[in-house]
Parts: sequence; C-alpha cells; structure tokens
Amino acid sequence: MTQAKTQQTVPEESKPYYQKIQHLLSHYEEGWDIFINAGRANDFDYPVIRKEGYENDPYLPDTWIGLIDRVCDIIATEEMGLDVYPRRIEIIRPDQMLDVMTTIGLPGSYRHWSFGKDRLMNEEKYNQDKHLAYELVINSVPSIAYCMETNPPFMQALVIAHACYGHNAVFKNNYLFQEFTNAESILQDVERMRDFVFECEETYGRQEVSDFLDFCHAMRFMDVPDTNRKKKLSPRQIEERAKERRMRRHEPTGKEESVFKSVRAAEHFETARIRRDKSGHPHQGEKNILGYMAKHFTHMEPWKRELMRMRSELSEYFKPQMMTKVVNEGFASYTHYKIMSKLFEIGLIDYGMHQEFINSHKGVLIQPSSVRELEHPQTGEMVQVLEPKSINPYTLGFNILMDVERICTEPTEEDKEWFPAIAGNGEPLETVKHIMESCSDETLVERFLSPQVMRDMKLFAVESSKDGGYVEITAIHDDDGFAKVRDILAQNYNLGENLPDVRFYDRQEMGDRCLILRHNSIDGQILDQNETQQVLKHIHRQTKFPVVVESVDDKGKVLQKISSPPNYDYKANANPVHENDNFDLDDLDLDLDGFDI
Amino acid sequence: MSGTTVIDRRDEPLERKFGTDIERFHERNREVMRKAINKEAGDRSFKDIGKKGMYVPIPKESIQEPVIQHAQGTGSIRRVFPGNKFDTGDKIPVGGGGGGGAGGKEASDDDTPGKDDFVWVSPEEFLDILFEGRKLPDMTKLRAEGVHIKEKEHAGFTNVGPSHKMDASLTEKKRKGDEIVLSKSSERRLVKNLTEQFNILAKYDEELPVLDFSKKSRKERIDYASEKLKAVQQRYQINLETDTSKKDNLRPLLEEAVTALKDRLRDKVTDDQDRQRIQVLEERLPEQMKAKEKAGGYRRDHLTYRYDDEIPQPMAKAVMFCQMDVSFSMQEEEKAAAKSFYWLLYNFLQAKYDQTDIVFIAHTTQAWETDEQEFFYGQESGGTVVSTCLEKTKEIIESRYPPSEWNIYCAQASDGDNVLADNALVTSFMEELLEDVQAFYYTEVGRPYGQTLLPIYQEMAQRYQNLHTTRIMEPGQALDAFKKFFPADAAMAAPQP
Repeated sequence: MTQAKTQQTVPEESKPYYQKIQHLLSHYEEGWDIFINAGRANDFDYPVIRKEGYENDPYLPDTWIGLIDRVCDIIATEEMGLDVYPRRIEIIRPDQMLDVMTTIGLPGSYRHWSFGKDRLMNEEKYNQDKHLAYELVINSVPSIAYCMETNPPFMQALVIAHACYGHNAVFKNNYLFQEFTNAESILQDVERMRDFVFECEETYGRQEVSDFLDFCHAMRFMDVPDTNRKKKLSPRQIEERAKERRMRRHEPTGKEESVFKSVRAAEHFETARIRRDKSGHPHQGEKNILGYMAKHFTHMEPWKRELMRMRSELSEYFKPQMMTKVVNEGFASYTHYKIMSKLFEIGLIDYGMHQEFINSHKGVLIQPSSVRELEHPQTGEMVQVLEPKSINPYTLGFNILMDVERICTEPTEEDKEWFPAIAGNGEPLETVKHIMESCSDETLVERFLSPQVMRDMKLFAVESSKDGGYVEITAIHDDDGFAKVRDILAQNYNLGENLPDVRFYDRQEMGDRCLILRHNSIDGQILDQNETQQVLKHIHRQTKFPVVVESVDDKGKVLQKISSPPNYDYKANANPVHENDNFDLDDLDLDLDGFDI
Repeated sequence: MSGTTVIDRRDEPLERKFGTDIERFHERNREVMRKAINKEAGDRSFKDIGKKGMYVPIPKESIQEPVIQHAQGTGSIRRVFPGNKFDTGDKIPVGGGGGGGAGGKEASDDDTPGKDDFVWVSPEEFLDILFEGRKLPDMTKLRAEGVHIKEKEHAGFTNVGPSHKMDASLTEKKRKGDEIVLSKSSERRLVKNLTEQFNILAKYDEELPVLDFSKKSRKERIDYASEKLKAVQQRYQINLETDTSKKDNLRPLLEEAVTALKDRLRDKVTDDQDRQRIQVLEERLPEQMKAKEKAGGYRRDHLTYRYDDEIPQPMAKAVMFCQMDVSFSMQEEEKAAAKSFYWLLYNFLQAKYDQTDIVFIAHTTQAWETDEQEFFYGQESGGTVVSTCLEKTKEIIESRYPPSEWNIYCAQASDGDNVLADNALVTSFMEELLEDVQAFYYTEVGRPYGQTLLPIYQEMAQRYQNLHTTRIMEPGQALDAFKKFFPADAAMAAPQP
C-alpha cells in the first residue's frame, strides 16, 4: 500500500536534483553525512575530504561552505527553478562586517565623516550587545554575500539560501531592479566614485570636498527620478564616459564659455523665453533635483557637478531596495525556508540542525504587537494603548507568499472570491516567482494580501485625529474591513506617502536665478521647518542662488513656505535686474542644455 | 560548473588604503576631541593613560545630517498596525511616544538642540589624539641588551614531545571527539551493510520481512528490528538476543540474524547478481568492523604535549623619582603637561626593566614623599626652594635604593621658579646626585618668565652627560621632549642599565 502511495507523487530519490546532489556527494569520503557531521562538530571549517582520484578536481568544492552552497544551488536552480546572478561568498570577521555595514552597504565606497559616525555608533552598539547581522548581500554581478565567521554551520546554510539565492533572485528578476539598477557595473561605479572623491580631496582639500558631500547627502530623496528611461550601458561604455568626464574636469567652467556663446545664446534665450511663458518651465515636475543641478548649473565647478551626478546615480541604485523591502525579505525568507526544509526532508541535515533553523527562522519573523496594556497613571486601571510598531517586512512578505502557495493548492471559498485568477491553479511555486518578479511592496500588498494573512497578523487601520493623543480605529480584520486595511497598508508602502514628494517647479533664469521647489502635500502634511531650512541652506551655499520650497495641497493652495535666505520673496526678483533689452548676457550663466532648441 | 566563489577573508586586514571614515570624523571634530582628551589626560592617573578609552561629548550641531522630511504630527495620518485587540470605531490612546502614530519612527527622536552625542574613543585613538598623531616611540625595541636569566614559560601545545609533558586531558578530549564521529558513522555503515544482506536473503523466503531503517531514530530502529526479527525467530527457531533496552544492540542483533539466515538460505540464492552482491558485502564487513574497532583508538594527531619556551629575563631594577613643584605657581595645564612626560618615561622604563618603582617627591619650601593623588592634585601655598627636593631625593636613595643595585632615574618638572639664594645650593646638590643617577630629566613647563632654573641646568648639562633639559608648553609637546631625550638611534642615547 505504501508503495502505491509513493508512486502517485514522484519520490524525491528519482528527481533530477536529488540525483545531482547524490552524484556530487558521492565524491566525498563522508558522503551524505558530511553536513550532519559538521553540524555536530559545530564547525563550518569542517574538512571535506574528497575521495581518492578526485582530490584535485577543481569542479568539486574544497570547503564546507562551498559544498553547502553547491547543494543549495542545485535545489534552488534545479528544484525551484530560480534564475540568479553568479555569487561570491565572503567569510568575514565582526570588525569587517562593521566596515561593510557602515559604508552605504557597498564595498569600496568613498570616505566621509558621516560614515565614520555610523561606524562608531555601530561599533559601540556591537560592543554592548555583541550582535551583528548574520549576513549582508549586495545587488551586483557577481552578487556578494558577506557571511559572519561567528555563524554556526546551520546558520551558514540558512544565510547562503537566504542571501545567495533568495535576495539574488529578486535582484535579478524584479522589474524595479531591472529598471533602476545596473548590477553589472555598480561595483566599478562605486570604486570610481571613491577614487574620484579621493582625487578631489587631494586637489581641492578634504574640507572642501567633505562640505560638498554634506550638501549631496542633504539632497537625499530629492535625487532620484520617477522612472528611468535611460539606456543601459555596458561597464565598458560607462568606463569610457567616465574617463571623458574626468578629462573635462579642469576645462573652463560654463561661466567663461558663455562669452563665446553670447551671440547664439541671445537667440536661444529669446526662443526659450517665449516657450516658457506659454507652459511653465520645461523641467517642471522633475523629481531628480540633484541630477537637474548637475546637468544645468553650469556655473558650478565641473568636479562638483560630476560628484552630484555620481551621487544621484548611487541613490537610483538604492531606490528599488527601498521600494521592495517586503518583497525582497519575504521572498528570501520563502527561499531559505524551502531550501532548509528540503535539506531536512532528504536527510542532509539532522533533526537538531533543523530545530535550530526553525528557532532562528521564528526569531527573524517575530512580530511585536502594537497594542500594549498599561496601568493608567491616575486610576490604576489597565488600559490598552497603541504603541506603534512597524510591520516586520520579513513576517509580512513571508506570510503573504506562503498564503499564496496555500491559495494555489487548497483554496477556500473566500480565496476563490478574492483571488479568482490564482485560486487553485495548482502552480504555487510559479505563482510566487511571478509575484516576486512583478511586484513592488505597494502592489504586493494591493494585489496579494489575503484576508487569511490579515486575520493571522491581526492587522488594523487607524486614523490619527486632530485633537492629538487619540487615534480612531477605522478598519480591522473583519469582512467589512479587509479591503480598507489592505488599501491603507498598500498606501503606507507607497514611498511618496512617507517621504515628502518634492519636485522642481521653476527657476528664475531671467531674474535672480532663484530655484523654486514644490512639495505636493498629502492630507495637509507639511515639512519639518528646522531640517528643511538646513537643507535649503546647504543648497544656497553651494549653488550661490536663493532657494524656496513651497508646500502645496491638491487645490494649489500654499500651506507653507521655507526659503534660504529666510523669508525670501522670490517673486520680487523674478525679472531681470536691468529692465532693458540689452542686458548683459555675460552676467547670466545660461544653462543652454536645459532647453530643447 | 557552479557560479559561486567562496573567499575567506578572516585573515585579511581591514581595507585602509583611502584612510578611514572614522579618521575623517575625528578630523571634523578634532578641536572638541583634543580639548576633551587633554582634560581627561590631566585628570586621570598617568599609569592609566593609554589603557582606557573614553566617551567624548560631541555637540549635536556638528554631526547633524539634515534631510527633507515631514513635520511630525501634521495632517491626518492613516496607518496599519499588527496585533489588533479592538473593534472598528474604537478610540484609543497612543502610548510610547510615537506621536501621531507615525510607525517606524518610534525610536526616540529627541531633537532637542544642544544635546550632545557621545563618541567612544579607544585607547589607541586616545593616545593618537593626545600626542596629535605623533608616532609613539617603539619602546619594546629598546629592550635591554644585558640578558642574564632565561625562564621557561608555557607557550602552547605541540604534537610531539617527551612523554612526561603529555597533556592527558586534552589528548583524551581530541580522541573522544573523533570517536563520537567515527564510531557513529562506521556503526551506521555496518548496519546498512547487514540490512542489505538481510534484505537480499529475505527475497528468497516469502515469510521474512523487509527491513527499512530510513527516517527512524535510534530507539525506533531497535524496536522496529526486534519486532520484525521475531518472524525470523519463529520460523527458524533461533534464539536471538532481542533486548530492546540497549540501543547499541542493533548491530549484534542484525549480525546474529544474518549469520543464522545465511546458514539456512545461502544455497537458495539463485540469482547471480544477488550472490555477487552478498559476496561483496561480506568482504566489506571485516574492513568495516575494523574501522569500528579502531574508532576509539589514539592516533598520532591526538597526542598533545605541553610546550615550554625559554624566555629571556632581564633582571634589572629601576626607580623613577618624580619631582615636582606643587606650589601655586604650577597650574593645572602645566601639571598635565608634566604628567604626559612622566607617562612616557614610566612606560619606557617598564619596557626596559622587570621592576620599576616610582617615588613621588613634592616640594614647596620643603620637600616630602607623597602619593600620586596628592602629587598631581595637591595645592600647597608658599614659595619654592628646589634644593630641599634634591636633598630629599638623595636621602631616599641612600636609605632605600643603593645605586649599586638600582638604576635611578629622576624626572623633575617645574615652572622654573626658585628662590634666588637657593640656586647655589641646587648646583651643589645636583652635582652630588648626578654621580649616582642613570639620567636626570628636567622639564620646564609653561611659558618662560623671569629668571628660571633652566639656564643653570643647561650650563651644568655641558659638564654632565646624564643631565637632560627641555621646555614643554602643553601635553602634546611631551612626546617631542621625550624624543629629544631619546633620539631614534636609541642604542646610542639610551642609558645603559
């Protein structure tokens, strides 16, 4: 009878991935037991002894880490069908991990005091609780995964499955990463920026460069375009372009050039003026303000503009990671869960290692509740208060994907109603992979957050009231609330909701060249006065021109105005200082590139 | 071919080609840190300098990184949270300081201006900033030339050595570890071998069960085996030892069963392949048994011996006399400068001698022996008579530190103020002292004014090789003074013990 049952579902032993693993391990002395033995010895440096005749076979991993990676590789690519970039696993010490964590998460980044500050704080935190990330993975080709030397063997297997196959697959296949990042060249780009910063430091002095980078850092969230339609270049082309730009660094600035261009400029200027009088500034709505400055503020020194451009590209690289936290962590957790379970199922790891894995898996997926019971200070009664806890992206992502799997195979009536397209389609893995490829956090929640997950996580929506101190529960995980909770959560993951949506509005080229930015306010939110003032101060100091940011609601009403210098009335300076036709063109730094002539 | 490379970077140093971020952070806050560290160097015991790090407060303004962001608590905010206990329409209070329910920002955001952040400065960085990046002299290189005694010291373990040095517990530990791993795996191989033989034989007798041990714990296996083998027992009337209380009995049990079966069934095995297989397995058996037996044995690489190394011991003693004017004319900063110098000298002597004593002599118009606390922090009124201090030093040398046994070093710090009439006495005492001491270091601290001791000492230094003089203004210069006393070519200038 048991035989009949095994014939229905294909036994693991006859699947191609199993045979591949068997073939691989047959070259090793300890064979199938090698991972269990290393787990018992608690040593990932466990010697892997190849059988006679294979000692020097370069195709057989010679380290335990290499071997477990190969097995994960076989399961991930053969059994799960993941498409991944090549990988590089680096085993590092805690102090090296601190270094990696500090620089914006990229190896070989440029040096800046703010990273030093982060490093000192991380180090201090580490000295206190002796806890660091188990791994860190870079979206590059090859994808670099840093694994800590302090991880026990089962944890190394887990992080390799998580980072090298889970995250890696998202990096390679998710549409946002495909659009915004250039994984093939990022490592070279970063190193090029580091070299360039170093070169500038030697030429212009550390103080000057550091101040300018402060300004670039202050432009965070205003340095990424909405969409990227740029043609992807090969690393070689990028290298050539960079070389070209570098050569131009010591050439005369735009200011000097304008003398020669003045005749042509006068014509262009007129055309441009007529055009913009009709329909606003041609760059209105531009989100990448730092990029705009790099391109059009020709009066700034070329090295500064080059740094701005580099910095803007770097931010672009990070944009998809900010937009896919849930998708990324969810899919990586899903992958490590699948791979580790498979290892246990086919007996490559023993019960003890599997138990350890389950424990740390649970630890990662822990989701603290946002409701806490407190003793009322006056009455002494127990009252329930809202203690905002953000949703753990690992938990949410993992839960959604696991539930999609359930919906695909064993749908309930409710699921059929909510997800007619995927319910009972019988292809859980393919569906999950498709979701990973085509979703951002916002769309993942919008399209695939099921009532079951909302119930499991007990999600509820609140709205803060004006009187402060109290919030109102607007929807909970019941039949009436599911759709609302889902929509609000999706909104929460919309980047614009959390980060101010600041865009280029106008530049008074005819007058004082004041830069005017607009913040599109949602629900009457305004900007932080102090911080924004500081940012504007940076812009003003570096560009030498005044700058204004206005918060505008959807009806066009100005809610708030912040400027540098403070209380600056830009409208009074909108027109040329010399109110006649023969104004001196050399006084103006025309950004000719800016107009499509 | 797999697309993974594994790089082991554990032995690699940190990448420092382009300087460090921390270095740039320090540079940015240099002035604040330098002040804090100089103050701390003045406050702490000079024996502790370079051993402990410290927290330096950094004003928030200088490390602020502004970024465009929403003002908190403006507008109406809609958010989703986990862990519900309410119903729609409830109004609940907000706790935990997350004003407006802005999730993800619950970390304490106290933006009160003027509040300082603290940065940890390690002992090395402390010294680096105290001496303003001047390189500390490599004191260990100056280690004594006159080596008299060698002592044996424990210095690790080796795999070869004389039998009396064997470390039994470590050796046993290594063996035990191997035994656990090896005996288990060889036991497993044996069981596998026997099971396969049993299963082949079972094919030729329909009433015999098929054994399958996969996915069973050890306890389950033995239960399972004894259960199944009962059939064999009944059929062939063999008495098998089916005691399931011992998990280790599995293999003997199987062995017995297989041997018994073989006697009865061997001729019935008709298939050629099966017969060959059984033969192969039988041949393998003794080898596997041997491996099992050998698993518990000692191997060459288990043997561990203690290893003792011969360490040269410089047997020499030194005493360092710290002499300082503690009258009001010496200010805190001047004392801190003197302290930095004492620290350097003390470390130097410690590296050079195996025993270093320190004697503190404070003086105003008279001199007395004291402890470090009072030496640096005591403030006495009165004038200054330097000769009393020299006299006291001489007294102590005569009573406790005979020059024939001790290397004597004197370090005097003073602002140079002295009663004019005393200068002649100073000269005569100095001449006596200089006969006995290895070296006498005089540092004058603070800015020069009026008539000071320095010219007198300088004049004397021309006659006496072991008298050294200098002037320092602030702690950072102590190292320069030290370097002046001990030039890079240390063998030439370093006093011979």
